[in-house]
Amino acid sequence: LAKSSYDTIPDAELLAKYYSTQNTDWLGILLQRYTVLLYGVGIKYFKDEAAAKDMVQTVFYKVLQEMHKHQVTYFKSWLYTIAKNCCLMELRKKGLTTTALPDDTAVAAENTNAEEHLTKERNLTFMEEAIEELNQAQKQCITLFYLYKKSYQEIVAITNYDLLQVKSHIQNGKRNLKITIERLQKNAR
Amino acid sequence: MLDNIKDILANLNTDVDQELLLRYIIGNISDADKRTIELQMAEDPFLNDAVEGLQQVANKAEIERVIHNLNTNFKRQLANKKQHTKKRRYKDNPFIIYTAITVLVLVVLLVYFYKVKS
Repeated sequence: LAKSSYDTIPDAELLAKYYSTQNTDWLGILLQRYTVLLYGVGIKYFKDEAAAKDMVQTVFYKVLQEMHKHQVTYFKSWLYTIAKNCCLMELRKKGLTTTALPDDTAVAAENTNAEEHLTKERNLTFMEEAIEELNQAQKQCITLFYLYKKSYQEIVAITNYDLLQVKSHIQNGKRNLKITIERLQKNAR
Repeated sequence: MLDNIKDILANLNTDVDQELLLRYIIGNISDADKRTIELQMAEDPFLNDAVEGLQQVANKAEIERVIHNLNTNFKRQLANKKQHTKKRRYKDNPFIIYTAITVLVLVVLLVYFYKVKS
């Protein structure tokens, strides 16, 4: 993939340049950073490469049309939400899913992101206790992935879970850890 | 080993290098880079979904060409949109064109009268 001199400019800076000049070239640079991710998400939802390509183009078009109407702070989260909604809408049109779309997706995505930033401030005092409270599968996958630095494939081989289960145990485990740590911190106050 | 515990809530930077990601999909990646990508995947559902999708592509070597084509089409679309906006600006503001014509006619007349006089 071609490298550009803009690669080192953070998303937020490109966004600011776009909002201050309304020059879509900045938006173009920003969007092309995510072509691979958008294409991958498209394939995950449609299981079809041609449909995924169409979806990427639809998202590009939609962002070009909509961007000036929103004050986006976390571009990546916003774009992910747009992409997922595009996929779900298309699948709904085809009658392949009945999943409801969130009402204000951009705001929801940004809240999630802001929430994650808060965790930076949390201390790790309760981590070991929280790990002990996880269910066996989550505890095993979290320990192997973070503490023993095993790759996904190695964890698959060790635990006999499939790849999707391993990823799911790690993600759910992480979420449960955050919840438990918050509870333990609240109790300690 | 317990030092690694802090990675769990570390909020890692999830900006992924697209080239590195494609190397991960193809399987041509060092252990250290693989670790970086997988830590980011655990942090970032967008990346995780994308990897799950890309891993389903039958001919993974083709992904780079597809991405290149998508980006080229998008650049063309952007250029067309800009051109269209420019044209519309003139269309919506015929005053610009009338002013230009008037100025041109005045210049021609001035030159003509100057030559006749001299």
